[in-house]
Amino acid sequence: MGSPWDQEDLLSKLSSDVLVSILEKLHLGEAMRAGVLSRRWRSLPHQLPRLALGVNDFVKPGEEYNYYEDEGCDMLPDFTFDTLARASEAMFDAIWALLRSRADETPVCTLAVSFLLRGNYMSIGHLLDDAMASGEARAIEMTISTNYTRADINDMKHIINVKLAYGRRFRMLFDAYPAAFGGLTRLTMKNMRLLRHDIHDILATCTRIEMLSLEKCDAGPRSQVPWRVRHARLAELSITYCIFTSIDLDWLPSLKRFTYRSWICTAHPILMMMSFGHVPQLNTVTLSNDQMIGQPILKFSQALANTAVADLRLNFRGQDVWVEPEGPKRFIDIFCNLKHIKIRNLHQECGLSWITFLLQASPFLKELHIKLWDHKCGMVHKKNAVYFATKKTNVPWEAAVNFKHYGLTRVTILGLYNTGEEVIAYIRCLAEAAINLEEIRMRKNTPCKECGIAGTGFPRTVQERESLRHKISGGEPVSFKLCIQS
Amino acid sequence: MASAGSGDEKAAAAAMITLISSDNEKFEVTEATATLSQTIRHMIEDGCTDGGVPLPNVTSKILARVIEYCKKHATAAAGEEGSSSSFSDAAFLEVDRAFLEELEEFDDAFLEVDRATLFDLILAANYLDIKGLLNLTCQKVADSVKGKTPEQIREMYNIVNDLTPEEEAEIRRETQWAFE
Repeated sequence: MGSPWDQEDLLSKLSSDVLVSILEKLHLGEAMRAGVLSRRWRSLPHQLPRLALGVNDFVKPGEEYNYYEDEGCDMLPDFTFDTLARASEAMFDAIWALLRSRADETPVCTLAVSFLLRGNYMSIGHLLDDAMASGEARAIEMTISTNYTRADINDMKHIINVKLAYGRRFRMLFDAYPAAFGGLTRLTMKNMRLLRHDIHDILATCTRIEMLSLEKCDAGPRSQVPWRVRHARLAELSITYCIFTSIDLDWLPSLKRFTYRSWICTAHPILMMMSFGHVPQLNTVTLSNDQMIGQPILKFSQALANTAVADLRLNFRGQDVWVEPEGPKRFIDIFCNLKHIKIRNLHQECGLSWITFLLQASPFLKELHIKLWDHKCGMVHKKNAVYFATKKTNVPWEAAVNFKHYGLTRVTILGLYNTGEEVIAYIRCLAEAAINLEEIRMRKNTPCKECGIAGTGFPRTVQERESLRHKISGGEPVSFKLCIQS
Repeated sequence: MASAGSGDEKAAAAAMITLISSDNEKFEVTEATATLSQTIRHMIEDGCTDGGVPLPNVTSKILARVIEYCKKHATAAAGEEGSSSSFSDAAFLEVDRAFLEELEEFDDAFLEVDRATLFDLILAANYLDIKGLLNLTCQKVADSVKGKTPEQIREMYNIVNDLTPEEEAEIRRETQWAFE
């Protein structure tokens, strides 16, 4: 109190660019409200480069569940008392007011809109189409979802019909507003079933798209034709819980990130059905499978042939390991750029020794992260119980005697299996093989995303941590830094 | 062959840059630390760092803090490429919370400064073009105004309202949806 800067308007010392970047970190409504602070602030919200609005921001608190369950039939119900319809109308009005209030001299913006395929979705499409066609928007980002949740999950036929109906609505929107989709740079679609050629048409029409994310959004199991993905600018592709019989990433010269998350179990060796064509920039590949039981099915030497990834992330979700260990000779060019490997949620019974095959295959690897599945998952969904309960298979692998790795410098391990013996043994093997190892970090695990339980094996007291350190070093001085943090 | 990579790295680690604050204090930093600043990176690329880099807009007190930030994040960047928030859906990308926790703890502690220092850090981050630091400090200011009414924000930051009541009413009308 009383010091000179307490009275000073420090914010005004900052350049407009900096003030706009502060506003960018607020919700759009809050950033717009800052326009009444003073004359200088008045123009700042209009300089925001990206305007992000979502229908959920317009739902009145306490009314979240007052909505009509739209099953996608053509007969439109009375939406008067539907909270989602009202939120959607309010969002439409806000976009309209925003576009009108942005004076001609302000830079054009990106419009990022998250909406549902119900109520006034066609009007929203129309508004975005106009904004793009008139040059008010330089790009569009859309998150299109359905909020259908109340169906009986045992009535699959009904669910599929609803998803198909939403898919038809998407097609209507897509056909009606080519300017909006032509200006699209990011698209997320959730919970609908398309026709096979719809997915193809999306990439053909959205020539500027850089990010495509499909979540439970596919053409169904009957579409036997492989999805051949070709696009000049697509940099990020995410596929989550979708059914594709096969995906061929045929020609994606700009693709940098590919994420594939599946819940298909072993009956469908779906990960095998993925092939990479021309993907010279592909840097990060994330693979995850939620419900895999049984023998490994994925051979990296085949699946990732033609790629030169630098960052490989595998999530086993506490299930069986679906990667088949292979000898280093098959990897001559595949893993030559691989610098980082992250392995997540590795079940104790799968063992750790198999990981060495990845080290042998990637001589320039610098970092290895392993997150152990060190708790008993209390996830109670009946449907999934069987997968979590099944005994896991140990993946055998014997590393060559005297194997040395010259690249590996950092190892991080999250969590610890009960007594820690296996982990300690594995760390000692690693330390012996990795000539240039600089640091091993061990930390307690984060709580499980599904059930919130955290593993309890990790040392909590200073004495316990010292004892772990002693077991790893065997009481001898070690050439690397060993950090144990709880 | 495999050892070539680590050899290069040792050479890079040896390259030191001298930064000179407005009050003429000299700071020796590694190139990896210094190049978190795009401004300095460009100077290095243009070969004009011999004899030190004068930074007439940054005091030694602020520069020391900036370097502290850069050192920490340069080390982290070496291991955590691709985990930045530049891609939208962090949960989707399986970014590990715990790996980032330590950095977040550092950032939180780093931001425990008085308001004048915070604003000097913003000015320095902007001038030196250090994206992460600018983001972090701007976020701190943004967090401080979250949920506040315009009146509260004016009071907090001593902003003088020089709008006429008519002008203010007009802005409120234009952006009515944001006030509902």
